[in-house]
This record gives sequence, C-alpha cells and structure tokens, in this order.
Amino acid sequence: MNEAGAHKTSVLVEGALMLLNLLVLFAGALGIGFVSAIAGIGGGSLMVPFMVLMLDYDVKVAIATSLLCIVVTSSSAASVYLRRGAVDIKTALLLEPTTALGAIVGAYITLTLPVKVVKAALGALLLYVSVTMLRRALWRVEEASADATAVKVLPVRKLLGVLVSFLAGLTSGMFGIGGGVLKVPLMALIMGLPIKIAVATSSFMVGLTAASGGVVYLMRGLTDPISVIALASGIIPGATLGARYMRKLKPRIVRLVFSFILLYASIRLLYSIVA
Amino acid sequence: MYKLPSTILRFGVIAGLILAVFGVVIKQVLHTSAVIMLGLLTIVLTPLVSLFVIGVLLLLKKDIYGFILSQLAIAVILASIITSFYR
Repeated sequence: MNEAGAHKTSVLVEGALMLLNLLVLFAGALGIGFVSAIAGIGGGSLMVPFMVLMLDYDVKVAIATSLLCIVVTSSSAASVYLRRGAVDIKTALLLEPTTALGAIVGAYITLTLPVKVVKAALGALLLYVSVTMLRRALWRVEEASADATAVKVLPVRKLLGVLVSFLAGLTSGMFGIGGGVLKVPLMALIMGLPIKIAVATSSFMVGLTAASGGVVYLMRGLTDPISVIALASGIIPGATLGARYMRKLKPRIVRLVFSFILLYASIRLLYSIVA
Repeated sequence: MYKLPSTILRFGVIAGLILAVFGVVIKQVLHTSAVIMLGLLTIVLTPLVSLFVIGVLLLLKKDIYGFILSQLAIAVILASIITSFYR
C-alpha cells in the first residue's frame, strides 16, 4: 500500500473510532439519565466515573465536560420549575453567591492538584455518596416530608446555610457534580424549605453553580465539546424515559443498583491510584 | 412572573448546543474552533443571563435586596471569567 493509501486508511480508522466513542458516550448518557431520574440525583456523580473508567478520559477533562452537561440538563428542568413558580428565588439568591464562589475555588483547586490526588478525592466522594444511598435504600432513612410547610428561618441558620452552600459549590467545582446531594438536604433541613421547593430551588442553583465552575475549565481548554454534545443529547431523553418509567420501577431497587455502581466506581478509582 | 428567565434558560442552552454542533462541522471545513467556543460559552452564560433578568424583574418589583444578591452572584461568576484569562 502506498503512503497516500495508508494515510487514507488511518483517517478512516480514526473517524470510525471517534464515531464508536460517540455512540458509547450517547448510550452511556441515556443510561445515566434514566437511572439518575429514578434515583432522584444529578448525573454528574455517574458521568465522571463513566468517562474516566470506561472511556479512559483524563479526570480533569471528564470533570470539565460533566459540568457543561450539567448546565444543559439542569437548565431544562429549572426552566420548568421557574415557570411553575416552584423555585424559592430568595433562598437561591441568598445561597448562590457563595456557592458560585465555592465552585470557582473548587475548579482552581482541581486544576492545581495532581491527577492522582483528584482521583483519590473523587473516589472518596463517590464512596460517601454510595454509602448514603445504600443507607437510604436498605434502612429506608426518613426524608423530610414533602408536605412540610416553610418555617421562619433564624439568621444563624441562614449563615450556616451560606457556609454549607460554599462547601456544596466547592465539591461541584472540584468533582464535576451538580452538588444537589448537599444542596437539597441543606435547604430542607437547615433552611426549613419543603422538600419539593428544595428540589426545585436546588435544580435552579445547580445550573448556575456548574456554569461558574465550568467556565474556569472552559477557559483552560479542558472541555471536550463533542463529548458535551453526545452526553447532553443522551441524558435529556434518558431522563425523560426515567421519569416515565419511574412508577413502574421500585425506586428502592434503583437506588440499590445505583449505590452499587457508585461503590464499584469508587473502588476502581481508588484502586487505580494504588496500582 | 419568571416566564422570561425560564424561556431564556430553556432556549439558551439549546441554542448553545446547536451552535456547538454547527461549530464541529465548521471546524472540519474551515479548521477554526471559534464557533464551538461560542456555542459552549452560550451554554455557560445562559444561566447568568437568566439570573440577570430575574434581578431586573426583582428591581422592577422594588426588591432591592434580591436585586443586589443576584448582581453579587453575577459579579462573582464574571470575576472568575476574567481571572481565568490570567494563567
């Protein structure tokens, strides 16, 4: 085979591999959207390990890409909540400046840390999330009542909320997750919001927080645009399907499966550092 | 009340995604990533624009406290964009 023919073949093979990669990303995103809609959690905690462990992405690229996908997916949900008037704008505005600041600081921390440390911290976070989910699935931990009415919040609690929201932003910017895992309990337990309002408000805040962290990575050229497109276009229909099948599947079983997937991902991440 | 920011949020990210897809095609033909970057920036800035509109709506309702908080969040994010230019 002459040089031109060999070059043509290599271009074709490269193109085919890229297409396969995109298809895997799209299929994975469909599954992530489906599972996360039923488990009631954002897709970020599954997206980053999926990209790092299954597709061998650099952990920082995976985090950057995940944050932009979160902006897309959470914005669709938040627009519905905003229109319905389910978002508590005052609470969101009170917590968002520190959350955004946390996300930006988190993104800079990840950028300066070595890859191994980021992987270890991500593994530890996933371990925490999986254990929390497992606890909820196995022992049916009581959640804040959906019908609870908003109570008057003391200034001390507001201050505590602002401080904890910085932490939520920090984890979001550092690990490419939405941070709803921290924001919803924060708003329900500390700020005294009814759980449905807390979920809607968190969904609105998640987009802003992810955008704050995402812009830092984007400016450093770490975001993979093609992966963002493939993931976002898979997650949205996946989540719609998940929401539709939610009544047919037992959330407890899905939570169990979800927590085992996260547990496996965290162990593999931690093992990859030791190995 | 928040119909406009909700519409911005929904269609802004979709427009950003479409721009990014268009940018990928442009990159293959013209070898420039400018349109992709524009698409991604549109996605990132959409929640910010929506927040700004919410702030203006609050100002129209004479909720100065809410307006200041919304502008504070926008200022923090804009500061991060500006600082990320300096490596």
